[in-house]
Amino acid sequence: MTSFLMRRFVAMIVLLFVISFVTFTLFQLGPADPAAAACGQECTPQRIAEARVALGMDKPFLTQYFTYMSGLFSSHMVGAPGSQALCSWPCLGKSFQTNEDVTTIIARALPYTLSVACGAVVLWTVAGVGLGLLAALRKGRFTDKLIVGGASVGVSLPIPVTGLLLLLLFVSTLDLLPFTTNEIASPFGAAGPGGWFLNYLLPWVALAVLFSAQYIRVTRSNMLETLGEDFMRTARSKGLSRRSIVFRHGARAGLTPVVTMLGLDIGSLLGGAVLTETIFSVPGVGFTAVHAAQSGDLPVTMAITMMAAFFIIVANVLVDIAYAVIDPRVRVA
Amino acid sequence: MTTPEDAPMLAIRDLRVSFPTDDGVVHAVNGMDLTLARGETVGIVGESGSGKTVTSQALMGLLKDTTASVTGEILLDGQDLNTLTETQMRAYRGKKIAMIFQDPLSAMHPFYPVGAQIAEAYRVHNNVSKKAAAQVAVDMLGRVGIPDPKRRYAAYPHEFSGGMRQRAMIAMALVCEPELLIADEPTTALDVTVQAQILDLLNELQEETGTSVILVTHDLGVVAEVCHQVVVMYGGVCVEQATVANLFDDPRHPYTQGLLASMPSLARRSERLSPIPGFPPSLLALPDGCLFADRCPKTHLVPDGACATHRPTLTGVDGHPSRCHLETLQPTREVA
Repeated sequence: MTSFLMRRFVAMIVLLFVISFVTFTLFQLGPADPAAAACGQECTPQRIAEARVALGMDKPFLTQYFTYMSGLFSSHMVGAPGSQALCSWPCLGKSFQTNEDVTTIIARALPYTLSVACGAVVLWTVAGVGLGLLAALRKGRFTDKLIVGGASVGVSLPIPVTGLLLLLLFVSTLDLLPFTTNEIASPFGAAGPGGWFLNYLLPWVALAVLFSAQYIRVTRSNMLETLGEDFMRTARSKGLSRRSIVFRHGARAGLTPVVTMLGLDIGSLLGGAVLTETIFSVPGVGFTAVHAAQSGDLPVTMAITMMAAFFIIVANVLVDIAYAVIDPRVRVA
Repeated sequence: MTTPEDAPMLAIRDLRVSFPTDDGVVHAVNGMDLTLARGETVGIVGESGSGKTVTSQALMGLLKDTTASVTGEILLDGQDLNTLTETQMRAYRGKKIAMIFQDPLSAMHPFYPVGAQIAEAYRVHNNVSKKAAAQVAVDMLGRVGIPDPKRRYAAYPHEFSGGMRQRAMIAMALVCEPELLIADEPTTALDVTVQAQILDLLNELQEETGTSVILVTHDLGVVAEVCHQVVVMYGGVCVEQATVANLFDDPRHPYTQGLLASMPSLARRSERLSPIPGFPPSLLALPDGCLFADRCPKTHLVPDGACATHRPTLTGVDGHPSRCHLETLQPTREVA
């Protein structure tokens, strides 16, 4: 187990370096010219050249990459000679737009994304797995058909549609919920858990409609497959109660694929729920990334891409570990 | 429930099982009869689709709460299991009737240690602590011949060899000391040397515990080795029931005769095997007459073409009944 973890950990570090290099290269090749963007409206070729120096873009490509990466390990000075500023560790550069440390920007955005993610994950897991199990146990009956039908609708409702409909219904028409505000970043703020809950309820529901529909389908089909397994017949032959058969024997095996899905979905959600954050004007990581990309703010875009990649890779490793814990057959391999 | 001492422990009477499918109703078992005395082993033989496995599933009550329709009587110590609800049946499963399956790897839960699965089977019917149940499971693993049972308790099914897994399955089935053990093709997935060991083990344990055994198999060799009684199934009915010796010496039903003739034998090595021509009847549309009539070489011996129009009943004397019209036409047997 230890060597398994070590191997996964080393592979994870290597993969992160590869991704950072590819991302950095992509931005170099892209059409956006951060120097032109940074020098403002009255640009002269000379000012662009100055901006290039200030942004470190006059240096060779590899030098730029290593300068950038060294920020992950130590503080260093950024900017043109004469107007250098300290970028403290961990340094991901400074925003071309606001000249803030990128880490500060991310630290500000992350609580919003975490707020969106945690509620949505809980909601869709409970709804998706619960309804999926129910549908599997009632296979072919009315309940099953209703749930499967609902899931087919849910899975075909993109977040912009659900989000706008929810806003229209609960905020504009019925006036039951407040419009999402960027003043509430966490349940520990002035608004308290209740205010936080109401503020994020609609984004959660919008995400949960789509995701729980997928979880219902995966849970149902995996549970149905498991219910037909020989070991389920054995469990029944022992005289176990139905609850014990379904949960101790069935769900343990049937929900393993759901664990994988959940891990990967959480990982990618932490990299920013772009659509949800945009629709509900939540200034989270996804929202920030979209704005940064639109304005050619390379350091911010780069950092968020890296962070998203980091979360997904970590989620992958955690899923592998979870698999080894759940399924003893994986441990030897 | 009081029963006379000489009443059979298990009596199946006119068991019928059918499954609704998209293509129509599949009649898997069509009036199965079987009796089994305490401490005896009966073999159920028959080809694929003859209703062996469905019969054993009906016995375990595994068809309750499914779309299958099960009629007839399954009397265990005088109690008709077929009238029990799923919840009532649970008290019988594992406790009075236990079952082992063909493929022990897929029949055990891959995520739980073998010992824990045996202990679980014990705890369902015995109100004991986990620790006590674990001790019972370790003892049971020892009894079925698994070396170093204490250490093997924590091993997972995939860490066992095929034979060891089937031993563990037997331990799981016998841990509550059931009165009846149903073994559904217990040796089919094992290689020949291991097969013999498992059969020996079943024999030993049966002598030790007095459990009655129903051995479902398609292997007449296995039957000859371990069974007292044999039931031959065809088209979902018992076509012949006899002691092992009688069945091999004096097969009465033409299907049984065909089966024995199609078996390879070392004594007749130069002969070609003679298979039974044709196919079993479709379980979707059963013929009106004898289910074997289409393949039977002896229909010409029965007058009035009765084989095609009338389904024979299980008749016969000296505890060797056969489901053939010829039985009723042979008065000579009545004397014997």
